[in-house]
Amino acid sequence: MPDVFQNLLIGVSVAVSPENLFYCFAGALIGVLPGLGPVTTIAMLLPLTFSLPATSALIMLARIYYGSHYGGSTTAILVNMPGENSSVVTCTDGYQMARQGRAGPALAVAALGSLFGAAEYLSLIVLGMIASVVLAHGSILKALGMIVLGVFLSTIGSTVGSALPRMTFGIRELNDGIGFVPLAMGLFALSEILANMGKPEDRTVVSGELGRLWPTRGDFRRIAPGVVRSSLLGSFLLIARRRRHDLLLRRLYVRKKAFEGAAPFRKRRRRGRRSPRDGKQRRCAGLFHSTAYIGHPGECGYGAHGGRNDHPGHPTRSRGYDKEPGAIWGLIMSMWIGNVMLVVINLPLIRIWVSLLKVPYRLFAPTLLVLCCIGVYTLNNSTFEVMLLVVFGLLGYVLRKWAASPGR
Amino acid sequence: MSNFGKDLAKRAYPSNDLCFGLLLLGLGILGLVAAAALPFGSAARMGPGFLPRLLCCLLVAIGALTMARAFAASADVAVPWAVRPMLGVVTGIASFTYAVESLGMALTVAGTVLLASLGNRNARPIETVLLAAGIAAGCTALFVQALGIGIPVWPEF
Repeated sequence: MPDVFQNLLIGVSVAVSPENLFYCFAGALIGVLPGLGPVTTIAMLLPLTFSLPATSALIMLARIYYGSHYGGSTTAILVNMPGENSSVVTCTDGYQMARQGRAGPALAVAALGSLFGAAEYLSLIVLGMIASVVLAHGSILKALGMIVLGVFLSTIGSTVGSALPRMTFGIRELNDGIGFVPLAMGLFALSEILANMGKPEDRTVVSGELGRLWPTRGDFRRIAPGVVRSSLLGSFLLIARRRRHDLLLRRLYVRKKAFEGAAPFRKRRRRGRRSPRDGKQRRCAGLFHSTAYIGHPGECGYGAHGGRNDHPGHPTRSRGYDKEPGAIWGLIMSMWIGNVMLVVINLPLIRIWVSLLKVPYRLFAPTLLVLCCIGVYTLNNSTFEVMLLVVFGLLGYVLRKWAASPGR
Repeated sequence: MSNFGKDLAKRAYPSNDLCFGLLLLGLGILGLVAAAALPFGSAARMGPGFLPRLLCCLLVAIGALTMARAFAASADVAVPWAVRPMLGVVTGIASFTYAVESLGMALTVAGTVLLASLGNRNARPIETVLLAAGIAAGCTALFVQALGIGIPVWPEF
């Protein structure tokens, strides 16, 4: 037991050294850029870290990952555009809060919620489909149609068994199926841009007051049971390969909503916000542990970390905990410190982010468009995925007109 | 009798339900055509064509049902379409697709911003040009210089 405390202390001493704190900060700053998901950002910044010592590099990459998740929720709350896959659920509640003029507390809750967390492992795909139907505000028939359409789109590409390309119409790039990033960005972000560009008056992104930053005491009282419940619901750190964390979050959210019964959506908004966020951060920590300890990525963002672990000189090559306590525990402690830092840095910066977003939409939209294009292009160096972005943007816009998309 | 037909048409056109059902129907038929060559197999030994064909049949069914509902119920108010933003954004991103590998980052980004802003009726001309220049400079500084992405800044002459 004293060994653990000693390791923790070593970790803290490593994590608070000036260079590592700086990399912590720099990583968070870069990660918050909207339009670039964590995978893209890490992929782009990986070469930068080759010149850094191993621990600092790992810390910086970890901070980028956290930062981009938080940045994803920032744009999700303020602009109703998910920064990456798992922010889609944050869009639903957080944007409603922002429209009520309560963007400040929403962002603060997102930041605060990252400190606590619980992960729950629900993975039945049928459950996810039922969830989509429950979330649908429109007719159930249309929601079913959308779900079937979604599953149909997922069958495009080669099958596992026969390696025959299915329904690719001879397009080589579709052999691996439709990429999730162009699909999500197109369906949500691009369609939002199209819808807003068409509006006659040039509204700013967030109109109205930000409101108090800190949640009120009443808010705290309402949040507390939810936090306790979600922490109790699943405090196990699961070291398991979880590829579809975004689906997981969606189910968490629906479960929460169903749990609270048919209460009017607005009142429960605050409670609903916490859990998906908690689940996200906890999952980060869990997957990270699986990566560092086993050398086995639980998710693609961590594959980059695994890649770094593999050269012979690297201290954490699959037996990290024993051989080099400084590196691994430094990393773990820096994650905790990083979480605290996330709150400390971001709470005052929220006002700056929001004032940044008060620019008129005619200036804001092209910027976002360019960032989305570059983000999608640099993922796989493929212009085909940028074209997919357009196609799904148009599809998303069309579906907005003709049917409410699930969850809106 | 002819009144019945006209009345039906007036009720259904241009209802959201009708268009959505038509979309699903069309996609379902397209999928069936595309998956026709794939071996179907049986329920016990599913071939690669099993799931696509099943899903396409479902899509066709749901599409047809939605269209039927469109005729039965009254038409919802048709929301106006924003054609200009669509054209602007599509041409902007299409220009990005063609230019990013040949024209370099600065010109590509500037072109995308200009074309996308053409789609926005609130845009002002001088402001747009300045915006294009600004975003191009910003992206070059951020992506090429700070982050080191392998997209050249200027085209090779």
